Amino acid sequence: MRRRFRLRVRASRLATYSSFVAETLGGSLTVAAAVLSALAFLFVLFLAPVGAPSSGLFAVLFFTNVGYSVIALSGASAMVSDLRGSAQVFLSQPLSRTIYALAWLVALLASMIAVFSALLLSLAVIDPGLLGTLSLSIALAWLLDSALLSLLLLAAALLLRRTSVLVITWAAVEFGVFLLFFSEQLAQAVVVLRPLYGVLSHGGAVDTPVLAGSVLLAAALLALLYWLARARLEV
Amino acid sequence: MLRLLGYALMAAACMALLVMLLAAGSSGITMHSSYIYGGITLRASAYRGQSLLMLFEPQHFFPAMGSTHVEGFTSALDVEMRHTQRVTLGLVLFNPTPANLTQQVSVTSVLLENLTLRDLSCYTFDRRTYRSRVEPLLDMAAGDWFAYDLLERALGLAASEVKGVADPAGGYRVTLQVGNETVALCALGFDASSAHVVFENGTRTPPEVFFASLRSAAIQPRASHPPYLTLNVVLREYLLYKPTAMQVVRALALLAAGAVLVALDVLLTGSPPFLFLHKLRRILRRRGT
Repeated sequence: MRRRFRLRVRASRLATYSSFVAETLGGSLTVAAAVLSALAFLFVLFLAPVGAPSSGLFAVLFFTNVGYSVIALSGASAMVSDLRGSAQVFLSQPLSRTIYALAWLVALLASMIAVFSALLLSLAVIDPGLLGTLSLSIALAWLLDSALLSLLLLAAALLLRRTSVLVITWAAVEFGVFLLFFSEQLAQAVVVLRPLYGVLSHGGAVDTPVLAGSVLLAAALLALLYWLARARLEV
Repeated sequence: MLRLLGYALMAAACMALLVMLLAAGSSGITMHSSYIYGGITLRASAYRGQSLLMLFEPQHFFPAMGSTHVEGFTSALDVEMRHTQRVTLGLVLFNPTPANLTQQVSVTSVLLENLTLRDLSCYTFDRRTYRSRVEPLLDMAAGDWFAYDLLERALGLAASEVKGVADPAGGYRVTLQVGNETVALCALGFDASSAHVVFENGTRTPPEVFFASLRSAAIQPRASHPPYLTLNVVLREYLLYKPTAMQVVRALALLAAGAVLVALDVLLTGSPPFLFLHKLRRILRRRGT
């Protein structure tokens, strides 16, 4: 009974603080998600009819993914500046270290889901038939790709606490990884980190082992984030 | 978190409604244009009296034309002809040598001068009709310069016809919308009364003599090598977006769904909506002072 009450209190704190992060601490996180959602409609309108039903649609997914990666970068750098500034106030009481770190993750993942929902619904507004061309594996690849980047950036923010390092990490994951795809052997390993690129290499579908590998990697990064929050955040 | 989703949906819906308003206010939004300048491969050509009729298939240049199945989008084609006094007609002529019966193929470039463009029309056909009834007629006419009646019969099977509008510079222009199950065919009508034919070696011949020599089988065109017409032509293929009523309804539904999510979050958390706007206003005020 007591345990359940504690869990509920923690969940409530996590929800409240992540809302605070999304609207206030994260700077323009909400605005950026809304702007990218509006842009997603334009991407869909201008690109979806190209080579319908596939090539233009993949371009929409990639552009939106890059747009979200910029949001994730700005969110992670807002976390760095918060850690250098007012985070101590919240971390003393009543916020625990893990809830603090998870709140940032939840805020980023919420904006990711918001952008992806806006993208899907933009497709539905233009032509519901376009939704049928987007397979579940591609949708999962988009979500996993973005979630992995968010986890990686937040872990880097907690570990190194430097915006410049975040920018390098973001550039390496977003563009550097793409260069590794020129080698077939490296591509098979790297596609776990960027499952969306699997859409390109497997001609419009992502293999289940790749998605499973990405889920495992995401779980490992989440565990790392949890450990970093406990080990690296001072109270 | 619900409000974050709500804002995102509202933003996408607002953008959708704005774009739809712009598209409805104008004659549609044009996108993905591609151009062809200069020359066209003819599908079939025919000569009768002083008239030349030349047909070409725009989808030969733009294979993706009319292939989009996305709601609200149609393929459109602008055909523009200018300055048509001098037309080069490239022909591969089949020239049998009487001495021995081995057939030699000689490539002859023939120049038709002083041709006058009389009209330009574009036709659309139902895809099935085109494949089953029009294409066989065009195939029969492709190697025969005197198959004028066949071409006229093929054009008579069109579902719609758009006549070119003459512009002050002496050219013609036509705009055609091509649907998913539609095939387009454009026809150029030339007046050859004052024209003459110039061969590669400089020999000049009146068109009736030239075509008579084709008929006498001294030299013949080949269906596998269609004539190539070089003239001042601009073909522009593009997608035209015009919003449908259902798209507007769906965008309004998305806006309503976003507003409901924001209202729900406001009710659950008690914090006022659009907090980020207050923050933005504060930042702007600070910068102002």
